Order: sequence, then C-alpha cells, then structure tokens
Amino acid sequence: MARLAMLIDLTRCIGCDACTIACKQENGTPADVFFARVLNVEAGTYPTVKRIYIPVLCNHCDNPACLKACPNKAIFRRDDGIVLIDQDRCRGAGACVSACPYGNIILTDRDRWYLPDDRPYERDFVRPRLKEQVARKCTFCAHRVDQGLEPACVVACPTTARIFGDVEDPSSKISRYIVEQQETTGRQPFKLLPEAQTQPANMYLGTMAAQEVSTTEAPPGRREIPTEAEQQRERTGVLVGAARLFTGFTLLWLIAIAVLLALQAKAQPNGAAPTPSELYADSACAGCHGPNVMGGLGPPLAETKLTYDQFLKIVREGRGMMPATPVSEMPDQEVRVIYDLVRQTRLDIMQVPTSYKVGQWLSTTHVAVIFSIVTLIALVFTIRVILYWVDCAGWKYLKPYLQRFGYGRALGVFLRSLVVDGLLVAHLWRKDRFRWLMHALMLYGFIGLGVADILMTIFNPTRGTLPITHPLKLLPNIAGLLILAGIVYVRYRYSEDPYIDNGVTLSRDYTFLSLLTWTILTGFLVEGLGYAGAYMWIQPAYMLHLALVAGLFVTAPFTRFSHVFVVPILIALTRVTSQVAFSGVEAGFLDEPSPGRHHKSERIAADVLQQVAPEVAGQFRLRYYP
Amino acid sequence: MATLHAVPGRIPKPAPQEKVRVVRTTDSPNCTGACGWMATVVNDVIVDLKPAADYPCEEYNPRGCLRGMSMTHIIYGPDRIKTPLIRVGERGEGKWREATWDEAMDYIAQKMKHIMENYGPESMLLFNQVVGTSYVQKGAQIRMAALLGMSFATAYDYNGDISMGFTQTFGIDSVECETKSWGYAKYAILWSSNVLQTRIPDAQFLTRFAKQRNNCKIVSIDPRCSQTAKAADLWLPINPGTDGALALAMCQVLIEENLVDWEFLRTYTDCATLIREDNGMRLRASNVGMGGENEFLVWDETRQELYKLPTDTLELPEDVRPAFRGEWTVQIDGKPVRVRPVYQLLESVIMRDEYTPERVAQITDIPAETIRQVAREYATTKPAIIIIGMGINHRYYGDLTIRSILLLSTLAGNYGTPGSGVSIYSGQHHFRIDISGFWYPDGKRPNVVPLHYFVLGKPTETINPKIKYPKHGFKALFVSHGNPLVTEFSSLMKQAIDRLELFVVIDFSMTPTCEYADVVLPAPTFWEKYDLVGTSCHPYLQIQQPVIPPQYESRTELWMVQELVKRVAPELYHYFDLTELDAVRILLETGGKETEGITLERLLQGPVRLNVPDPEIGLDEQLLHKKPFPPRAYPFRVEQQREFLKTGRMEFYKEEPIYQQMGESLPVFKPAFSHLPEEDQKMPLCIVTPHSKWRVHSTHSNNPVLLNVNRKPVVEINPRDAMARGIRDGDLVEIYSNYGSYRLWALVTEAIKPGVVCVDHGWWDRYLAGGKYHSVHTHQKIKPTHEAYFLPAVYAPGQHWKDTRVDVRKVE
Repeated sequence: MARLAMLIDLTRCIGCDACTIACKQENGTPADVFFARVLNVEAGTYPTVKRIYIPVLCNHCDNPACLKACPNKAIFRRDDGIVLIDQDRCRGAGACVSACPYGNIILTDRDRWYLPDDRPYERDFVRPRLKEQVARKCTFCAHRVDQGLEPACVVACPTTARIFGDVEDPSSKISRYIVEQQETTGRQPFKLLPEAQTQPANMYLGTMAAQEVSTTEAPPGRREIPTEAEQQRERTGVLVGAARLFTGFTLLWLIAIAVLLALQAKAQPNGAAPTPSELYADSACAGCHGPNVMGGLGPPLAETKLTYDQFLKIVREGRGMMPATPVSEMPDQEVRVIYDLVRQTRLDIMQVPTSYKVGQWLSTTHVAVIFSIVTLIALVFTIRVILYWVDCAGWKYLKPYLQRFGYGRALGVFLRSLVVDGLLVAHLWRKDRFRWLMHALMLYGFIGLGVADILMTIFNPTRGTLPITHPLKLLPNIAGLLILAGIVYVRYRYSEDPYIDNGVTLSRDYTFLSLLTWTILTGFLVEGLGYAGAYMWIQPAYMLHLALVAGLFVTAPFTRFSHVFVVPILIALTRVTSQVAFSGVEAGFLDEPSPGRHHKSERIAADVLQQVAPEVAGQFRLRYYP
Repeated sequence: MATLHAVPGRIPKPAPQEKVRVVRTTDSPNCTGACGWMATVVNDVIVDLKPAADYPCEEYNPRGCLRGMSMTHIIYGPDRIKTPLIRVGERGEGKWREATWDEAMDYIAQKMKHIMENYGPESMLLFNQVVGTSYVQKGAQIRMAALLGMSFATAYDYNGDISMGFTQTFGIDSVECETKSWGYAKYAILWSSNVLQTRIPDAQFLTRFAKQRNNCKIVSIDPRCSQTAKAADLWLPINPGTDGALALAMCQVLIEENLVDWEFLRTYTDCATLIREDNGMRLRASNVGMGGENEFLVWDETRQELYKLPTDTLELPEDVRPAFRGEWTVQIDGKPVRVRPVYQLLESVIMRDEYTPERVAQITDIPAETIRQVAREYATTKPAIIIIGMGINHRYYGDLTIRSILLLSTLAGNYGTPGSGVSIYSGQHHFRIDISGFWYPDGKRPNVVPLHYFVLGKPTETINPKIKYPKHGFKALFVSHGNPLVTEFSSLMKQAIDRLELFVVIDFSMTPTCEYADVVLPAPTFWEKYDLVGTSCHPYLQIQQPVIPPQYESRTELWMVQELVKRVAPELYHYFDLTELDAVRILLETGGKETEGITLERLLQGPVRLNVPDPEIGLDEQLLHKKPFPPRAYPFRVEQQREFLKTGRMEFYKEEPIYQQMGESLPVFKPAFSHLPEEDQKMPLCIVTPHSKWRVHSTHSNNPVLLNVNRKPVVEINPRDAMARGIRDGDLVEIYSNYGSYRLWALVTEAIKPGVVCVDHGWWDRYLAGGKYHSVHTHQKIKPTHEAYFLPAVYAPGQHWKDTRVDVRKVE
C-alpha cells in the first residue's frame, strides 16, 4: 500500500502562482476554476507586517469529508490514497462543495472559457477534457501519477517548494525530505485544520525567515474603522456565546418535552371513550385489546371489570389487533354467556402469558419514553454531525459575511434550497430522471410513512382495526411498498455496481441498507400477521420491528441514513455561500480565483498563521492581487 | 504529454491516439528568464508546456513561471494579429484594412524610399524591444538599419535600464553574477529589489539555497512590504528616494567602526589616486613628467614618493602602500598644486554630520541602530551580496544612489567570491556574446539616437556630440515588439508620433501601440520561430525553435527584413540571403571566446554553458585575474568604454567638469524630488510602479488566463492615507497629478508605507476604470551628467519615472 502525499515548504514558496497556471494547463480547467490556489496573506498592521503564501490544493484526506457527503457516491478513494470525483457519476448536487473544509471542490453552473471559439488549442484540446456542471477538484494529476510522472504543479514549481511522493516509503523523496528538514532546520511538518478530522495527506513546513521590520515610525494609535467594529464584536463575544449555549440547551429540552408530550397525547383516548386503564386495567385479556400493544393473545378475560355493554362493544367493533365479531357470527346471548363466564373465572396469575406482561409493560407511555430516549440520543449525535458539517462548511468564517448579506436573506436561500434541492431533488431531476425516480421511491416512501404515523395519531389514536381500503391503512402500506421497491433497486445496484466501494464508507452504507430492509420487512410482517390471523406472532414481530426502527434512528448519524439531513443542509449551505459570494458583500469573495471559498481560505490562513506567526494570527487579510 | 487524458473517473480513459511531438525550446520575453521548455504539440497545436529542466547544472532546474506557462493564451489569444493591417482612418481611430503582405510591404517600401530620398535614411528610426531576447530576429532588423544607415534607438536606455551609476564606477552599465551565485550568500541585501516576483525562476537561489543551505539573512529595503519581504528576515520600509542617504550612512558606520577593507581599496579602486585641488582633475603622470595622459599617480607611503599605477594590471607590487589620507604639494607647470587622495575626499563627504545614522534615520525612517547593525553585519558577514532593483535607478539622482551603494560594497570589500558583489538585473541587455558579426556587417552600424530625443522632438542643448540627431528630424518610426504607448511618457510619445510620416508596428498582439500605427505587421511569437537566446541571469546559450509554424499570416522578422530590403535596396539583398540557422552559425562563429567550441548542433541538443567561470561572480576577470576595469560590454570594444573609467579602476571620483559643476564628483545624497517643479513637490504621495509577476512589462497584460487570477488594476494605499481620503478597500479611486489622471480600484493594505502608493507596471488602458495609464508621470527630462559620455546601452540618458508625486481621491 502506498500513501501519496505532497509536502509544501513555505520557506521555498515565493507565491508565484506557477502551480496555479500549470494546473490549469494540465487539467484544462475553465475560467474561475482553480485546483491549485496560492493564498496570499498579509498579516499585522503597518509597520509590523508579515507576508506569507500558502499554496492549497486537495488534501486527498484519509477521512475525506467530501466523500462522506456525496449523495451519489461519486467520490472515491484509491488504494494509493488519491481521492477522486468520478466525473461520470457526479450529478452536481453540490454537497461536497460545502463539505470540504478546505474549499477545494469547485462546482460552477456554466463553464466560461478564455479564448475565442475558433482557437483549436482550447476548442479541441482543452474544452473536451472536463464535464460541465459536475464537481471538480485536484486529482493529484492521477493520470500523470499512473504514468510514473509527478503532478504538474510539482514539476512546474520553480522553487521546488512542492515535494511529492509516498509517505509510507521511507526511501521516497518526500520521506527523505521530511527527515532531512527535521535534522537540518528543525522544522516539523504540519497539516491543515486538524480539527476537521479529515486526516489530510498534504503537509506543510513552516517559514524560516524572521520577517522583522525596523522603522522609526510608531505603530498607529488608531486602527482602521472596520477593525474597531471587530473589536466591539470581540468584547460582546463571551456574552453572546453564553447566551447561545443557554438557548441551545433550552431548545433541546423543549424539543424533548414536546416529543414526550406528543407521545403522551398519542396514548390518550379520544372523546368520551373510557380510558384504557378503566377498560382493561385488571383484565387478564387486556393484551388482546389494549391500544398499548397489538397482540391477540386470547386468554380468558377473567374477573373482568367491564360492564356487559362495554364488553359487547369491544367484541363487536374490535380493539387493537382483536378482530371485530359481527352480530351475525355470534348472537348477543352467546356474548352474554361468555361475559358471565369470564366474570366468574378467577384470575390465575400463572396463566397470564409473559408476552402479555411484556405487552402490559409496554404501555404507550413506556414506548413513548423509550423512543424519546432513543430519539434524544440520535438527536444529540445528529446535532453533533450537523455541527461537524456546518463547521466543515466554514460557518464561523462565513458568519461575518452573512451578517452583511443579511441573515434573513440567507435563511430564505437556505429554506428554498431545502425544498428545491432537498425535497424535490432538483439537481437529480435535471441530470438523471431514472435515478431521480428511484431516489423518489425511497424519499417519498419515507415521507409517506411519517405522514401516515402522524395522521394515525390524530385520527386513530387507539390504533383501532381499520379495513385495508381505509386511507389511513392505504397510505402506510403504499409508502412501505415504495420504500421496498426502492430498496430492491438499491440492492440491485449495490450488487451490480463494481465501484460501490468508495474505499471509506461501504460498511456504513450496508448497515443502513440492512436495517432499513429489515425494518420495512418486519413492518409488513406485522401487517400480514394481522390479516393472516396469526395473532400469536404479532407481538414478537412488532417488537422486532420497533427494535429495528430504534436501531435505524440511533445509528442514523453514523450510517448512510445521515445523508437525509446532511446532504440537504450541505447543499443549502453551498447555495447560501454562492449567493453570498456573488452578492458583492465582500470584495474577497469575488476577487479570488474560484469565487466562493474566501471564508474557508481565511480559516486556513488563520490556522497556518497560528503555526508560523502566532503574534499576528489575529489580524490578517487575504489578497488576491496584485 | 499527459494532458490529453480527461480527468480520470473510475475507469481511466485511454488517451486519444494522436501524433504527439515534443519540442525543446526556450521562450524569450523581456524578463531575463530565458527558461527552457518542453512543448507538446499535436496537429501543430501546442497542447502542453512544461519546464524542460534539462540544464546540466542541476541547481537551475526547473526554470519557468506562470507567464511562460500561460503563453498558450497569448499564442492563441484573442488579441492575436492575423494579417497585416493598414490604417484607413485617423491614427488611433481603429479603422483598418486587412492587407496582403505584398500590399503592406509595398506600402512601407514606397514610404521608406520617399523618406530616404528627401530626408536621408537616418530620419527613419528603429526601436525594438529588446534585442537581448532575440539575437537573430531582432538582430536582423538592426542589420537592416545598419546597412540602410537608419537611426536606431536601443530600448535599454529608453527603458531606464542603464544604471549610469555602474558605468560611472565600473565602466559597464550593469554587473550581474549568475543567479546560482546567490545561493552562496550568507547575507543578502535586496535593495528595492523584488526578486521573488521579478526573477521567479531564480528566486530559489535565495529561498532554497541561500536560506535553507546557509541560513542566509535576507534584508529587504523597500517602501512596500513587497512579495519579497516574505522571504526577508528584516524589512526596512524606507522613505522613497532616500536610499542614497542610507548607503552613505552605512559607509560612515564602516569608516567609524574601522570595518573598511583597505586591501580591496588599494587594489581595485581609485581611492588612492590623487586629485588636484586647483581644477579638481586627477593628477596625471603627464602633469609631473612621469608618463602619459592616461596614467595616474598615487602617493606611496613606503618610499614617500609618487607612484604611477600600472595600466595593464590591477596588481600593485607588494611593497607599494598607497596613501589614502594626506595632502601633498606637487609642481605642475612650475606651479605648486596641492593634491589629495580620492579616499580623503570621500571620507570628508561621508563623515559629514548629515550622513550620521541619527540624521539619516530622520529622512529614511530607518532607526539609526538598524543602520549601524545592517552596516556592521554586511561588512563582517562574508560572502554578502547586494541585489539592486530598478526602482532606485529610475530616478533623476539614481546614479548617485547606485554610486553610494557601490561605495558601501567596496568599502566592505564584499567582492570576489560566489555570493558576494553587487548585482543589478536590469533587463536583458548584458550581451553574453559578441553579436557584431551578424548585426554589424562589414563594421557598419546604425546611427544610434536615444529615444528620449525622439520623444522630446529635438536634441537638448547638452546633447553628447557623439549622438547624431537627424538633420530633418524623424519621419518614420518602426517599433518592433515594443509598447511605448503604455510607458510613462506616452502622451509626449504620441505627440512625437503625430509628427511622423510613417509609423510601423511589428507585434503579435494588438497592443495599444499597434492601435495607433499606420501599418501593423503580424509577427510570430517566440514559439513560432528560430532564434538564439542568452541572458544575464544564467550563462546558458539556448536555441529557440519553431514549435509550431507561424500562426495565421504572421512572418518572422528576418522574412520581413528580407522583403523590405528587396524592395528598398535590392543591391543589399545578398546580406539577407540567409536563414535563421545561418545567422545562428554566424553568431556562434563570431561570438568571441564565450562561444568557442559551441556549435549549432550542440545547441539543438539542449542548453550549452558559455565559456565563463563556474560560478560566475560578476567582474570575474577583474576580481580573479586583476585585469583592469572596465569589463567588456558587448558589442563594444573595451577601448570605447575607456572614457568612462580612465584609471582602469573602480572610480568613486568623477573628474569631468559636468560632474564638478553639479557637485556630483563624489557620491553624495540629493533629495530625490528636489529637481521637480515646486507644484509637483507639493503633491502628498509618492507613486511606485513595480513589476509584478503577472506581466513582462506590458506583455501578458491581455493574457486572459492571468487576468482571471489578477482581475483588475489596483492602487495599493496604506489605511492611514486611505482613511484621510475616505477611501475603503475596493473603492473606485482616481490617481492624479499635475500631468494627468487615471481611475482604478483601491487596495487598502497595511503592506505599504504611509505616503506611498503603488500601481503595477504595464496595465493596458482598456483594463483601467478610466483615463490613461501612467499619465500622471513627470515629463521626460534628461540629466546633464547622463550626457557626459555616450555609448549606446552603456551610457545614455536615463529615466526618472519614479520621481513622481501624486494624490488619490475617491470617485463618487
């Protein structure tokens, strides 16, 4: 196994942009698409100014955020560590653009070119190389690497500031250089943004120049106007942070309580009907009828406290999974006889089946509490995951620009994108209708199940038996069937697609797929058992179903399930960022090569300055020219 | 090679099966890089350029930069001229007729004949930028000018590239060590030099070799925290134009702390020669009957008598100890005349109060302690190198500044080893070989007139008598690969062009100068023709090859010259009946000792190192072999340079009357802006116009791929100046002076000294937000001392475009 990586020596780098241009030429990128950028940082205030150049390119991470975020599995990692975007698979969703914490993925709406259409150089040799409207990034010049050549930026660097090779091979150029520099200049390589946990392959060596300044001029007493505003923000920063923490916790609790209340309400009977405890509390037969557990277990209703009318009503209308007995099948007198018999029968606690006791314990409240805990755990992890992705999207550094852009406006863009890109999956609709359809089976099936559950809670809180033709019955069944069809397709695709393994996420993908498959299958099993009259099996099947649902939810943040919330959020953030970039709120965004990653570049600059010049890390500016 | 692949998806796509050719060539814009490239060609289209990295000296690999690599976007660029164009409207109106070559050539030839008959051939002026990049093609134009008797304006003097301070001191306009030599330095002073941006292929000798190998301390003296300050250990934000004072203060520190290298002064300089008090001239051997007019005397302390300096060597007998201080009386024509050594005079100037570090700190804004420290470190760390940038030379008193810096280096004796000396990489005019054999057939030379006089429209009163300004003035101008309408004095230049009967421009891109032409002739780029290329930055001779055929209707310069000569003077055609490769052979055969043994066949294999020392340290013959100064400036003979340097030693005392009149016999400091009219001096800001990595002068200004990164022209301004004018980052602003104005965008940055603004050199007007680029600059003016001597491209009038004061206002 090899691990290809690049080492960038910041002492050698002169910020000449030769790598930027060499890359453009090698990869035939259109205007505004730059895989190898050089950040030009000036830090400090006159006269104590420092300059630094930071070449950035795809880090070919061991744990690539882009790869995990890709909804189409178009991004994959080769055995030598190169992370590539499959240009044929990419559907241009844009999730990876936000996901990459380094801002190294570029997705443009339409390609603009440099030369007139009649120039054969560009027309015949450059334009055909890349596909339009797909995400693109540095490939470490994989096509050159495969021919035994070094990447274009490496061979073009006039100061040999870029050293490329296999870090796992101690005799490689890069490994020897690291050792040599540790010995001669005492410099240790560092990686960018370790907190993003992406484990980048690329390394940097710090600058050696002292960059001191000597002048008789005193540093200015007053700083630039915007800087004062920044100071103001810094002062209020701590309070704001505390307030936000408090709000966050409160919100979390409110959500938790709301969920509990909702589940409680679900347990409440509607109208004037007797409460379940009134109905069945002491009945050995409660398991047959209760809204708490759906099982027809059939032991005698010994010492029942029900009145005859109540008993008759239950028999005639059915409850829970207990089927209704029409008048024609059993005359009232017979019911009366049964009723009397039941009342006289002494309750022998030993006769009550364990499943009934479990069912008894699994009251609505208990289920609600369990699911609340499950959901809470899932929620905590989900929030952590979302925070991770929001961090990857560079939220902290985007915020100052959002403030100028307007939070309201940004929220509008965000919500619109959630609908268009998340709910309607517009990008897929445009690119690949068949895949959209398959995706829709799953997506809308899921939504159907959710809606069915809500409607059921409202209109049939006791989960009374409904005929198969009832809308409340049709909806979940159709939704389930849609998902099932989707699963069948996905499973087919997984078995047929030789490239389904992107080198990182396969186990997590299969975890989700398996859990989902079994969840849906057990759901139908429960339904089927009811119709088949195999009441004995309903409860175990149902409990299995519940366990699977819980498993699905709890593992959601770690499996492919997470794409349900991750992808729409990332796409929406990508849309917001590009809106900010093109709104002109900040010169930096528009002026940079590949507009739209200014805030991430700032994050990298802050990180590198922390390593090489901590004293001025607080105040720096990125410059795109001259 | 590899570019034919699509970006790989899961399954590697096979490369299209095309016939691929790989050609080794070198490009040659006026950046002095002369980098070797490997071009991949498919169907006669360049699809890939990669550094050739085939220099036998491994340290030079790889060479190349973003401009060379993006040449594809110029070769196939949107502004490429496709056919000859003949103007049909008014000049600059933009109305053209696409012509055939025959039409265009007939048109020009007929005009030329008319001018030659009526005004003489010297009324036609050839101005080509810059011949050092193209010994064959542009050489052919000079060959034609020489044979027809045309006037020729060398680009170097008009560009302000000639550092007269060097010629005055060393007898040659510039001294450059090969850049490999930088890597040996343990101390480097980058004096207003931005090598990290302007010498990209050579920058690694500082950041990689000097810094990483020797832990060299790098000092950057620049009003702007230029990109080079990134590699600097110490940045000295100097007040623009006060560099001379800084150098003299450092000299004072050296003398005060006794860090002077007396042995060096004794051997290599004129410091011991005696100066007469009566007329300020040097004491000559002929004055006291000891020898000839050009033999000079020192006072030998061992024998306590006058000693005549040898003229054939710098070596002095061991027991001769020339006095540096003292005063003696000699009898000249029966009269007693007091004489003193040059050093005594120098010391009396340097030790003046005005050059104490404390006083100089006040004008330069560099603390006295730092001045002392840098001077001390420079004198005691060996080898230490000084690299001078052109900024300080583009000033009216720039020669004085450079003389002061050379004095500093000489006092410290920091010469003679790799990584020492003073180098000034000012364009590609330091000819590596003798090109006379091809350029000047039968010893015929064109009539050289600096372009300054063309722009001024008449000779100055103080013009050097060697310059033959045409009797009838100029009637035709041929500009080849030049863009003078994008330089600082473009408005005057335009007026001068308006007086012409014929204005021909030869270029590959439709430049602003082309737009003003009568006839535009499409030339091939460096990638479409043969040529021979040398540079001062490295000692490799390289051949330029036609990687692709000339695009569209373009024809090589040699072809154009052949066609013109056929029409204008068919009797001379036999001089031009040769191919480019024939010309290369001639150049190699007659190139002097540097090209001995180098054949065309070897050159076609790859770069060949000239016969020069390795590493070349600059002034090699003088410093290593004690051969008298000046070093030969090709294509001239040393005898022609003798007038600059009669003593044959580094001269810090200039005896010519004009220097004495201006008080510049010795290096002194004169405030940079003091020669300007009072209303100019009142403008609050200095403007500097440095070269950037995006352009070679104005070439690449229109390169679409570079414009994609460097999107618009900006003026760098310090927040303190910006705040006072209500300017915020990104605002549209106007720079104005008493001469003009133009609009662009503000870049409010902490990386520039307050009181200084900076605009990149070379923007074409069309990229500005309005106005004429460079229109704010002070008008053309010639310093009389620059007319003291004349030798084309070695000593000729300089430029002072950095002596400009402006102001900036916000555009509402």
